[in-house]
Amino acid sequence: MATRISRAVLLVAGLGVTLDFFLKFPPLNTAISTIMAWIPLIVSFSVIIGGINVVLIHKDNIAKKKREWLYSLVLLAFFAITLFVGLTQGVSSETYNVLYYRILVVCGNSLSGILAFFIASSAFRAFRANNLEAALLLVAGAAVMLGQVPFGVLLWKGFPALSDWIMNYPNLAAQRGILIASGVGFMAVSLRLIFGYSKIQGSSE
Amino acid sequence: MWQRFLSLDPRIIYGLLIVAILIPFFTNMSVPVEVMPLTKQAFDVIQSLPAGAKVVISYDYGFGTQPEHDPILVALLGHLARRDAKVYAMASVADGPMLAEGTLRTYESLGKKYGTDMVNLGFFAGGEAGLAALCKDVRSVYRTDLRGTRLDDIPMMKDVKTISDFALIISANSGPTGGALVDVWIRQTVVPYKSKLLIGLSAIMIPQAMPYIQSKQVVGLVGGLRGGAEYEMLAGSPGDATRAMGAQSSTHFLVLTLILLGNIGSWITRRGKSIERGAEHVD
Repeated sequence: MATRISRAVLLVAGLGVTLDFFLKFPPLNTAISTIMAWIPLIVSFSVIIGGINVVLIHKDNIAKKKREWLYSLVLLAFFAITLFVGLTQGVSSETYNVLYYRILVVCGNSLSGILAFFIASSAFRAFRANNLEAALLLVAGAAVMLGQVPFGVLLWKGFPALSDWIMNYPNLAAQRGILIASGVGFMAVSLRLIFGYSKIQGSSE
Repeated sequence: MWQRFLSLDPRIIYGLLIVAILIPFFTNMSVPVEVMPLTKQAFDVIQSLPAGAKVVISYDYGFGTQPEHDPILVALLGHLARRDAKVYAMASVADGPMLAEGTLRTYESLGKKYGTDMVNLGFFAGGEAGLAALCKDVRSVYRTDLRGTRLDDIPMMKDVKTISDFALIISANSGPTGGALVDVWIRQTVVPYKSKLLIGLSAIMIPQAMPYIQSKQVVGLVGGLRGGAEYEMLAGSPGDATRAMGAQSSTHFLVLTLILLGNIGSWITRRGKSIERGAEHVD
C-alpha cells in the first residue's frame, strides 16, 4: 500500500512538474509553484535528521570506546558549541565568526592545501608515457597546464593557443558526447521512475 | 641511479614543493599575466551593466576552494562596485553564506551599504529543486536575509519577485559539492528565464564548462586563480590572485620537471632492462 502511494505521488509530481515546464495553464502552474516551495522545507528536515544521525553515531563511538573515539568527542563538543552559539547569539555574532573563520575555514583550507603535496607526488609516479594513450594524455595535460600558467608563455608563446585548441576542439567534443549521453540517460531514468518501472528505494516490492 | 630516482621518497617532493611555494614570496617574483579572451568577455559583460543593475552572486563552493574563489569574487565585486550594481548574495552550499559575509566586506569597504546596495540572503536548500522554486518566487524560499531581517523590510528587495528581475547571475562554482552545478543554473535560469549567467570556476572545472561557453549559454568565465589575476589586471587593481601567480608558476614548473625526469628515468630503465633481456637471449 505504502509503495502504491509513493508511486502515485511520484507520478503526479513528476508529470506535473514536467508539464508545468511546457504548458501555460494557471491552475497547474500555481499548484506546481506551491509544491516547489515545499522542496526547500522538506530538504531542510534532512539537515535535522543528519544532525541527529551524527550525534547518535558519535555518541555510540564514545560510549563503546571504539577506535579513534577521541575524534568523536572533539566533533560532538564542537557540534554542541557551534549549535549553542549559533542559536543564542546568531550567525553574524563575533563568537560565531571566530568559530567559523578562525577554526573551521582554516582547518578546511589546510586540508585542501595538503592535497597539492599528494597530487605533486602522485603526478610524478603516475604520469608515465608507457603506451600511446598515456603519452597523448601526458602531452595534452602538459600543454594545457603550460597554457594556463604565466610561465608557460615565457617558455613558448604558442602554449596559450595550443591550450585553447585542445580545450575548444578535442575536449569540447568529448565533453559534449558525455553531456548528451548523460542527458539521455537522465531522461530515461526519470521516465522509469515516474511511470513506476524502477524500484523505489526502501520499498518491499 | 635512475632506479633510485624513480622510487624517490615522497617527503623530498613535499620539501621541494614547499621551497617552490616560498621562493616567490621571498623574492617578490613577478610573472607576466596575459589576459585570455574568456576573462575579457566576462569583464565586458559587467562593464556593460547599467548603473543600479541587480546582480545575483551565488556562492556554490565550500571553504576547500575558498583560496581560489575569493580572489575571483573580490575582483568581480570591485568592478561591480564601480558599476554601482546591487548585489544579492545567495548560496546553494551550506558554507556559502559565511563565505559571502567575508567577501561582501570588500563591497562594504568600497562605500556600499547593507540593505540598499547588497544583501546576504543565505543558503537555499534542495539543490536543483530548491533553485527551481527560488526562480519562480524568491520569497517562497527566502523569508528573511541571513541577519534575520524580513525581506519586505529590506529596501533593495522591494522590486524582486522572480529570477527574471536580475540583470546578471554570477555563480562561483567548485563543482559537485552538493550545491547547484553550472548545468543546473543553465537548466533552471538560462533556458526557462533567458537569464544572463557568468561563472567563476575552480581551474579543474573549466574543461567541463567549455560546451556552455561555445553554445553562449554562459556569457563569461573567470577560471581559477589565473582567471582572477587576469580580471585584476583588467580592473587595474592587482590583488591576491596576481600575487599568487609567482607561486603557481614555480610549483607548476616543479611538477612538470618532476614528470619529465620521471619519464626520462622510466624510459632509460625500461631500455636497460630490454637490452639485458636481449643479451641473456643471445647467451
